[in-house]
Amino acid sequence: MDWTKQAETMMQTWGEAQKKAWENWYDLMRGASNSNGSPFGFYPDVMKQWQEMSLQTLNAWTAGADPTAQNAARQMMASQESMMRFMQSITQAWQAIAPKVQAGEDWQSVLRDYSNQYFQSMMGAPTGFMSAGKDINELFQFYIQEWQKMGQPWMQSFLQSPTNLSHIMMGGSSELAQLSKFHWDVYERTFGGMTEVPGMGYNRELNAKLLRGFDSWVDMQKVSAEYHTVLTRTFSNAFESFMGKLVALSEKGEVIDSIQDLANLYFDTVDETFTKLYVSQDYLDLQNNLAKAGMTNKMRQREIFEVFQEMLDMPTRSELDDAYRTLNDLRREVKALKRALKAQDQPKAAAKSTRKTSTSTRRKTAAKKSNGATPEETAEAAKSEK
Amino acid sequence: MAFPVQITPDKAIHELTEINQKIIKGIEQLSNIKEDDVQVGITPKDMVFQEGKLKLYRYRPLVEKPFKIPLLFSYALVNRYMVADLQEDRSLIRNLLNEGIDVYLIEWGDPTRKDKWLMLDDYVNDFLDTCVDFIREQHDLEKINLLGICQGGTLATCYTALHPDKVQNLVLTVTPIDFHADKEEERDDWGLLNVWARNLDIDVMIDAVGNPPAELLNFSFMLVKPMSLNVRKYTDMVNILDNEKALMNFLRMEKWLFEGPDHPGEAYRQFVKDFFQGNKLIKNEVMLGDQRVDLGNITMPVLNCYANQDNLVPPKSTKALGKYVGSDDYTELEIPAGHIGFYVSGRAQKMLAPGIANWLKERD
Repeated sequence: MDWTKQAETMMQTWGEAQKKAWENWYDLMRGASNSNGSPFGFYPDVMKQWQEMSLQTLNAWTAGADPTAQNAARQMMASQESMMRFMQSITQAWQAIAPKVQAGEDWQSVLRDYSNQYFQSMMGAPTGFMSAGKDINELFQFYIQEWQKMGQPWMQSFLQSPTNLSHIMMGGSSELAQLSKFHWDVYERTFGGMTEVPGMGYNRELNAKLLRGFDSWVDMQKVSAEYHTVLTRTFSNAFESFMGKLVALSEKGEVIDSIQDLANLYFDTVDETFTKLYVSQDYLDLQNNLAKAGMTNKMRQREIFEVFQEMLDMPTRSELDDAYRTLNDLRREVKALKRALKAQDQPKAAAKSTRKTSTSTRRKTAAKKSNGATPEETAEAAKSEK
Repeated sequence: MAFPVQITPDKAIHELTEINQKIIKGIEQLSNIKEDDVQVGITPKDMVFQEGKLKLYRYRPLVEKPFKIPLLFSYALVNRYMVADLQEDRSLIRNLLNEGIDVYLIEWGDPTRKDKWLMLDDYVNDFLDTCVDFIREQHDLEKINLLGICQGGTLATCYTALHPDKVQNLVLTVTPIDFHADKEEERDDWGLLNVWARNLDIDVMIDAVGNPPAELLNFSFMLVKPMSLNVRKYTDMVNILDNEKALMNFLRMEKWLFEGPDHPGEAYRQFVKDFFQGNKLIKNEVMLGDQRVDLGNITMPVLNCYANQDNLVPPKSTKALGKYVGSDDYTELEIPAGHIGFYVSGRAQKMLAPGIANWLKERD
């Protein structure tokens, strides 16, 4: 059997299937949404069409629906898109390696080159696995969301930056430098000017905190880039491993004949590969560094803003935390006092009920024990009276 | 050697067309679902006690004469108790009510920044103890039954060790006890959360965020199996879109998963340091306030229920309890399920509540 021909057929099959799927999809969506929508024509990038149309219609359809249902619908669409992308990549990969496999030559190195290229482009894409789940960048948005609100000028530098994290993820140090430069520009335009004023007190304090804040911000970007690079490499490894499994299947004479089965094999392989990564000490160190860098940066930003809050006589996060701590300590004390009072009342109640049935000697004992005793002693006395 | 992928053009087109049709139908269906349609935790109950954010509920009995000794649910500080009462036909609570158990449940309340300073001591020796005392007084009982869920089980274990005079029977479900038992597991993907937590610098996290947000905790859970929990789950969802009942089940679970509370900061710091990292519970070294938790004090009957496919709280972590409690009456109940399926799977519905109820009946 000619594998090169088979791979070509598979490519044609997928192209045809995509085209047909798109036509069906378009018809169905138009029919279901009962709207004319945008006049999409068929063009080669099915994924882009899929994404554009599904976003457009999904938002319109699910407006007013339960938020959980809305989210599930979005995740489902993103997952389908992931699956389609995966199918596209696998057909391309087979075209690259099929002749080598059949000739018994080194197909692994061809696959490695291919998968490296593919997954680097995938990590840079706005869709795919990361958007199907909770995006890693989303996690970072959480890490920084509090200071993001207050640090608008700083965030602007990030958002307006001509580069983005995905470039940094690929290990580009020039992008990192460019990003840092942009950040410095904003710093110069905002807080930087103030720190140049020779002075005492706030300015000196602010200057030191700004520098520390900037350092932590750059540290966070570096660790983030490193983390994403490791994830990308792991995806690449998973893809290679998956293709290896397919070759192994063929050696056993087994075949996969449905898109769903093929995708499931891939999903399982990715999870297995990530599990191996997760338990490695290198990953654990990196994950901890990532969390630490994000958290440290958050604290440094808070320190900066607290300087301004103090200047404007506004309460700071640290002051509020202190106040809450005091409130909580007081709450504990009040609760302990209430318990002690209750424990003191219990022997009295016990004594009252005892009076009805007990001798005068026992009454005296109970009264003696509750008089001036600690709550624990009085509670103990009450128990013994029972 | 056969070419391994034999997806013919007609089959591929058919498969994709079928998926598309299901998606369209499903989105229509999803778009018609309003917020009130996706309800969880609906078994009727009354709030019988409140102190600040702490609420104590009593479920309305479903039998004429419930058991004499009530059962108090202690839920985790992560996620919400609704997993034990997801829907009418998937509800541990409802099943227990049907078995004649008088059920109470604690809702800790969603922590805000002001609750960052709450310690595990507050949850165990104040909140839980307050609720136990309330029920004891209401029922005029010396002791009541206590049931813990996951981390709530760890809290219940600590409580029982510190207040053995107030607990008649202790029931634990998927409860971590030995936080290093995952090291003995053969599978790397069992107990990954333990591995991560052991390597986490928790101090810097709590100092920075106050209360770890629910989104972060949930993200950690989903990261364990990135493809299965983030992608495959939703590609599989396509197959249930035309089944209204299955779809609603799916959405209820989604609601429960994504609508958890933040975790109170200082309590989390202690939980990670003393339990995940120090594994102090089995060493009898956990301190709550000025009291040391000694598992040997647990001398009352104990029912320890675990899921044999639990990758979050591996069975060995749960079953370790048997080695450390002082009780002579220690029983284990194995449920063939994962950590969540333990409460919501069809098989668990038939095994868990009857198992607990029968065990309690024998000791009522």
